[in-house]
Amino acid sequence: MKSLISLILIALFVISWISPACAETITLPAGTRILVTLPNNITHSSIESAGTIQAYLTEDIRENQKIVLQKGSMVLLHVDKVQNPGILGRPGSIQINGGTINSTQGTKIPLNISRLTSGKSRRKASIAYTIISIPLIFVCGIGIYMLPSALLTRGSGVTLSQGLVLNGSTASSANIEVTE
Amino acid sequence: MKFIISLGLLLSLCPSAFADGITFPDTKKITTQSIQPLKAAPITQETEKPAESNTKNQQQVMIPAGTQIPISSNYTINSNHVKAGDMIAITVNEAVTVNGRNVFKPGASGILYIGKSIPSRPCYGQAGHLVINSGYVTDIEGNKHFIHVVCSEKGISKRKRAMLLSATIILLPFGVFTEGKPAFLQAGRYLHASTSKNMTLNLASTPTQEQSR
Repeated sequence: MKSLISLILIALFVISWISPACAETITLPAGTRILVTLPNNITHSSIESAGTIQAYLTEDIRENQKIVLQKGSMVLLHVDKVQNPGILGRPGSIQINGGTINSTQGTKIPLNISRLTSGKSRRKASIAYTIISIPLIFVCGIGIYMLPSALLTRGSGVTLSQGLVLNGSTASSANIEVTE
Repeated sequence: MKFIISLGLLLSLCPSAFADGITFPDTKKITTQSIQPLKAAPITQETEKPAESNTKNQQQVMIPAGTQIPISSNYTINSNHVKAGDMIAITVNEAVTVNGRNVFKPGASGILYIGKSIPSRPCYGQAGHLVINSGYVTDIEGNKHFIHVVCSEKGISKRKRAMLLSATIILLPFGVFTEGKPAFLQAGRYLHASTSKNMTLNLASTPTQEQSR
């Protein structure tokens, strides 16, 4: 009886050593196209420069007919620059540059992803009103009231819409363990 | 003696069973990181099954052009926040079967391309406009199928109001700078898409619709 138990245990021991070999390691090459979706609206006022935005993988990434990155995996996007709307019609803008995706094993894969989104500029309108208002100061008093409002005209803010899909690619190759 | 060896082996077995290398069927690949506010997340698990099945008995299924696919947007899209050429995420709402075989699972992901986006403007009540014509969806094997969609959403125009205000000289600025409403594509709104060309799928031995019931 004891020898039977011993044999079973030896068999289990061997199986436990073989099992990890069944998990195949697949190399995801650099430059693999990645689509990420923004789950929330992002505005210039809701984020800061050098911050991060959370997004998720839009669709499964397959390599050799196997899913190596699952849809819904978390992606962190790096916000490079945020500019608030300013005077003289300057628009707001958000620059996203780079990010990382977490594989199911917890490996962080760097991404090449870049997007510059700007609001609507009102610079031309601001300059035009300024040019008109300066002579009106001397002709009649109304120019005094027009000039400050012309100079203080702000451009529009910027919003990255929820559900927006950004296009990127993996910056480097990564070895990902895929179970059979 | 044998009993002692057995105990030793048992002890050495216990830690290795909980090592990272072994994946148990119940805990397979589901981590908190992969759980996102996406309706389709659990269905991803189902789409993996055909790929795992035996590929010896493959069956070719032709998806003809014009196959209807019910889809919906995952999020509400505002015409003021997107521009032409942007992509938005969509989900297949219902399973699509061809010759009794499931080719598109409910929850399958896809993309729609914004064809035209006009933001609402403070200019005589101009409303927003959103036009979407094309995109693609992913089948159970991970292939992409280009689709045609007819979607044209318009915001509420306030032109009449702006004109009425402009007619009175005193309220002219209010009339000129009246802004219309942006166009919205509401989250979950059903859209009917159709595949744009024939495509043949090599399906593994997946169960038919009847068998799966």
